[in-house]
Amino acid sequence: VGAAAPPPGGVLERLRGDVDARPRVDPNLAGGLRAWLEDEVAARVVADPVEVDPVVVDGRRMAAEAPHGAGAVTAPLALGALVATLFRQVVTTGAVDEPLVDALAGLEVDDRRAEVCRYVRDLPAPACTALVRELEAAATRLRHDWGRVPTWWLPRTDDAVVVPLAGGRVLLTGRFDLVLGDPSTGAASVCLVEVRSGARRSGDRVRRRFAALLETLRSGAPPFRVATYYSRDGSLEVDEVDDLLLNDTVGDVARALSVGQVPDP
Amino acid sequence: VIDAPAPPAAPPPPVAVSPTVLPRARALTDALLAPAGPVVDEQCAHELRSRVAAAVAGHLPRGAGRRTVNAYALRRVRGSHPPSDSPFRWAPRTARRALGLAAVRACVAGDGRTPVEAVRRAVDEEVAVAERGAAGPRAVGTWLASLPAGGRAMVAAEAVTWATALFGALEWDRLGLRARIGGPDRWWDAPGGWGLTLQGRAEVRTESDGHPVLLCVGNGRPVDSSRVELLLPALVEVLHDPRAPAPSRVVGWWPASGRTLVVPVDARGLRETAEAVGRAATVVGPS
Repeated sequence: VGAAAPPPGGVLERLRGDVDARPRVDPNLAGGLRAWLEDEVAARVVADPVEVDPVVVDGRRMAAEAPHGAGAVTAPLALGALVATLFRQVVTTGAVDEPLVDALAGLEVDDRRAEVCRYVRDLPAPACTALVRELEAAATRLRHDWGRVPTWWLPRTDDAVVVPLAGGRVLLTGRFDLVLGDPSTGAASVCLVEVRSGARRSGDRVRRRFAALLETLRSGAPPFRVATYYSRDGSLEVDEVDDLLLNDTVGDVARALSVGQVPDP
Repeated sequence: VIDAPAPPAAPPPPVAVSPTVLPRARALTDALLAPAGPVVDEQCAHELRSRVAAAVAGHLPRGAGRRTVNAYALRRVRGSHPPSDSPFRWAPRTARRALGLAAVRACVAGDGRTPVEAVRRAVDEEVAVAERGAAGPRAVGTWLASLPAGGRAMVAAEAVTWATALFGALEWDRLGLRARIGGPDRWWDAPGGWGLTLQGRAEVRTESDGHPVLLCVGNGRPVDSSRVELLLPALVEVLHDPRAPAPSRVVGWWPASGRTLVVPVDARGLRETAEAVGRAATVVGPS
């Protein structure tokens, strides 16, 4: 997320912020967080001889939400998949011509999304009309807010992360909807964005903080900022990342390992 | 068939590069450019040819069709990957490497392009070749040309993410002209009529002290089979041309987990990989 400024007043400018104010990376921070997590895992999971498959902790588990794919496709889930696909398209190409056609075509190249495609194609006309209306409104906002991400900010979408702990007995996993910025060379240089097509949820902040921890463990440097973008109204919630946020999140992970969920923040 | 004695102890484990060292690109580039250390010689290469033949003899029926052992097959035989016999299909995940490598080559060539721009160009070029009728029916360009704009955008998005990770992973100016990004896979056909072919794949090839060094980009995180998976492309190089300088090490890098493993290419590791190839050959179906 470089020095050249984006157009003022938009989400890109908020994400970029003051380049000179970005914190230096404490070279011991990531190692310390990892060691702390390893201790927590050793105390809570490794001693349990029943566990054979890895214990997976993801944003949903952290936010006490139902696991992904736990139920049938619903209208909100379908809208989320379509919006996520359009978001990737806008960031990568800068354009969307026909939101529903483009989003369905984007989903259809991935066999894992066949059920969503089938759900959308089988929607009765009134429900389909409502979905198209919501999708077109979201596409308009996506084009406005994300259609001109500078390519030298190195935008990459749907970036998978997996952090193994205790020799792989525990996996901290996530997918970042958008990552901006060069790898760190000493200062925090990366910004993470999660895109939500639905309303705000109390778990959104938990997920953002968890994303910040994942990136810190993966890359050795914390992101300077984590954000949630709401395609419903184009709003943005942003957290600045500091040691306190990351330390608190390690505690959240420990609680998620113990009880499968974390308390509402 | 060489009846070599069993090694007295387990081979040394791969060396992990600290996941907390910054900048990461410097640490990974250091791992590639480190001095070569001991390397296997031509005699060892000839022994390995016999060992691979011995490993498959008695397990594979002659004339049962050609079987290809690659890193995926080694993972399957170690149980680190769910078995799948579904035929290959182009998808964003299977196309990202080819498009991503083309993009990284363009970025490293210094034409000022970013990964996003370079991937867009790579996609356009593949489609143009296909539309001229110059691409084969199974080529990625033929598949891309068949996709509507939304599908093509998803393929590009996936390739951008992959390419950006690799582009940011190394200090390319230190590698200079020694670095070869992508390039064709290396193949070796086992003698003896077993119909066995080994496939070696690396994302970046460079050299140190006159010996090749390979960088392999993995998905997810290192697993039990990663060591032999990493040694497979080195084994293929040694078998393919025993007189050529042998690779001195293979560096595995998993961008999703930030993990790096450095595996020295030694005789014991290559023997272990040859035996893993023999086991895998009995698992994979004829191609």
